[in-house]
Amino acid sequence: MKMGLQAAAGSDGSWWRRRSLKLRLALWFSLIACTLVLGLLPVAYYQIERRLGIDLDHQMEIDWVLIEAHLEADEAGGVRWKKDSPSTLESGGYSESWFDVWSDSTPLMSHTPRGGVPIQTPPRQLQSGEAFYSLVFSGEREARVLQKSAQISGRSVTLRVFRDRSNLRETLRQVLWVFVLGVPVAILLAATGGYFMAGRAMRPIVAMTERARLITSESLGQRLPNPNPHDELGQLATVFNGTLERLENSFESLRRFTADASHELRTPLMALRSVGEIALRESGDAAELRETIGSMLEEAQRLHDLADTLLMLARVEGGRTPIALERVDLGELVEGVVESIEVLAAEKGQKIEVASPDQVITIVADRTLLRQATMNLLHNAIRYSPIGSTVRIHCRLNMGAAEIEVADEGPGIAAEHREKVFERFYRIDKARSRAEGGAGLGLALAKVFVEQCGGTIHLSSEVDQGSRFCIRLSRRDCAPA
Amino acid sequence: MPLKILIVEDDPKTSEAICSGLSSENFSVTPALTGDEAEVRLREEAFDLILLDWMLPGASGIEILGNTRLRGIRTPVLLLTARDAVEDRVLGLDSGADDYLVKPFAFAELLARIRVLLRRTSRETALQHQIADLHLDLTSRQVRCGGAEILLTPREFEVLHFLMRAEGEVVTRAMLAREVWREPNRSTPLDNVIDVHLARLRKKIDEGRPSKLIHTIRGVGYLCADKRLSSPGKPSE
Repeated sequence: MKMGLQAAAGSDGSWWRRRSLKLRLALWFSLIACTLVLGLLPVAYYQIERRLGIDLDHQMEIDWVLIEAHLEADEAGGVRWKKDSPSTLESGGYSESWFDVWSDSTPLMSHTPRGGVPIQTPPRQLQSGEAFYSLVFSGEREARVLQKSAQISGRSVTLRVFRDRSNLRETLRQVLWVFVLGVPVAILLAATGGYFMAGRAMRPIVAMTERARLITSESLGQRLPNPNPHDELGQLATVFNGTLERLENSFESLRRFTADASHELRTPLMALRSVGEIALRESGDAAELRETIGSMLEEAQRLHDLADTLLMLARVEGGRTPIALERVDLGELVEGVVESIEVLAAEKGQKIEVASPDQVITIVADRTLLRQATMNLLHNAIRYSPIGSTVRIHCRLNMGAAEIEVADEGPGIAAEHREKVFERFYRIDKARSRAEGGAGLGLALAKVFVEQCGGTIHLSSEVDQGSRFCIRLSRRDCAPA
Repeated sequence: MPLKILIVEDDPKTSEAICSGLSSENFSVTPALTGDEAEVRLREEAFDLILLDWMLPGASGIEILGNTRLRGIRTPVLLLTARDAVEDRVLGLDSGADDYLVKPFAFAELLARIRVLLRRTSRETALQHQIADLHLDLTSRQVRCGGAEILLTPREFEVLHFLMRAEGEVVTRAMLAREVWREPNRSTPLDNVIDVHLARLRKKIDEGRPSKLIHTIRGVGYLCADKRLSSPGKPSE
């Protein structure tokens, strides 16, 4: 079984999907860094190379002008370095420059820097506008040449200035090395940085996971840590905590329901049993035995009714009871309900006031369910109202919805009980006996029935000010008359 | 000659209780604990009524019902079952059952249903009922006690009519709710309402009367009878 699961996990999802999110983020960072670096470096290299070439040409143009200015014709018809020049051929500015002067194809003067190899190629025939070119000398060295015609002492000659390009190439090679060595380092840094940053970003998630792992049905009161509710993780935590709260509430309801249901079921069972056992032990006469059996039957009936009610609740809620929708006149329905159970109010000296609407209010609902819901609300009001008080039942239209409101002059319901009174078996006064209050299912039934009819049930109440239960039914799905 | 009832029920306690109850009502009862036994009995004898449990070891109640009807036996069948979903009721009645009673049921209810199926009584359709000096007239909707008219609300009248129609038989609250209030559902406050109506009715009928006519059978329901004439088999208080 375990093997099977592992095999399934192995076949399902690629290697990539099985890595941690942290690692995947780091790898993504590295990939992006790699692309960026590899894309940008050639551009940078090309730019550096161009700039260095332009700089060299500028330098040579300056060299050329300076050298031209320092040359003069000599007596033998040649060209020489000016005798009265403050700088000499060995001065800093010229020591690295080659230059030569030609008159047509006759060399007039040539200068080679110290330690340099002489360049002995005649000037080229150049296109007009062209001045720079490169040439190879002494085998492998490359020289940059600026060749222009110059006027020296009124004589037209060709002056060439040379610079060795090997230095530039050396610089470029160094740049390349820096790049080649730097790229892996940069990518590595991006990966490491990415990994740690992802780790940092994931830390709240890890903390949430740890906490969530500890939350069981026994500790639903715990919540996820939420240091910053504004960012995405904070929102996730808020949503998760909301879910936990609802879960806790439903668990709590379920627990209460189980406890209450077992109490409600055990009480009549216990009574049945003990009454029977005691009757067996004592030797009573026939009348006494009949009394005992009657009492046992009463408890059996109570169990029977309870089981029926719970079954019906489960059925209606599970949608297994067909809902028979029909047009229902609310005023008529309320009158029927009042007529049915007003004797209960009369027994307590209570008055039921029916406020009928001016017009006929018709809605589409399941008549039986709605009738029972209304009956339960009214019965509840009668049961919890003091002797001699008035119960008001009122049906009306309110903002497009039809409402049946039952208001009593009872003790009211404190805020902490308001939501729970609709839960099964919920009793505000735990000490209240079954004889006074029912099994605690009336309001739960009313709520379920009303909801099956597509309506809602509301309670507004203040302690010592009575309670108002209101059934609200939307009329929008009401068929046209 | 007593009417013969076949009781097909696999739970021995329930079977025994029903048999003994029906015997004391002067029926001749034959128990069958399994579906197969029931089939055998049905081949051997003719019955006036069959009480049939749905869930049985061997052939199920529905199968037996089908077979019986196939053989052309039209004996009334009252189906007993714990299955009370609407579709179960429909299936049961479609299979040829004449009535359907959901377990657990009150014996009084069973008895009432049996009597309806056997149409043994003409009280069902009578327009006048008389118990001791209490007289109910359905046509004029009047109730008289020794000549003096008793004023009843329409609901009280219907309750009394139902009780008198079933003279000597116990009537449960569930039966009253269903027949008088037309409320088949048990999860309503109607039981309290019924009790209040019965208390008022009793006050009007029985106050000042040496021998009461309306009796409470604790844990079961109500009974309307003149106890001075009660037979030894009937409960007495």
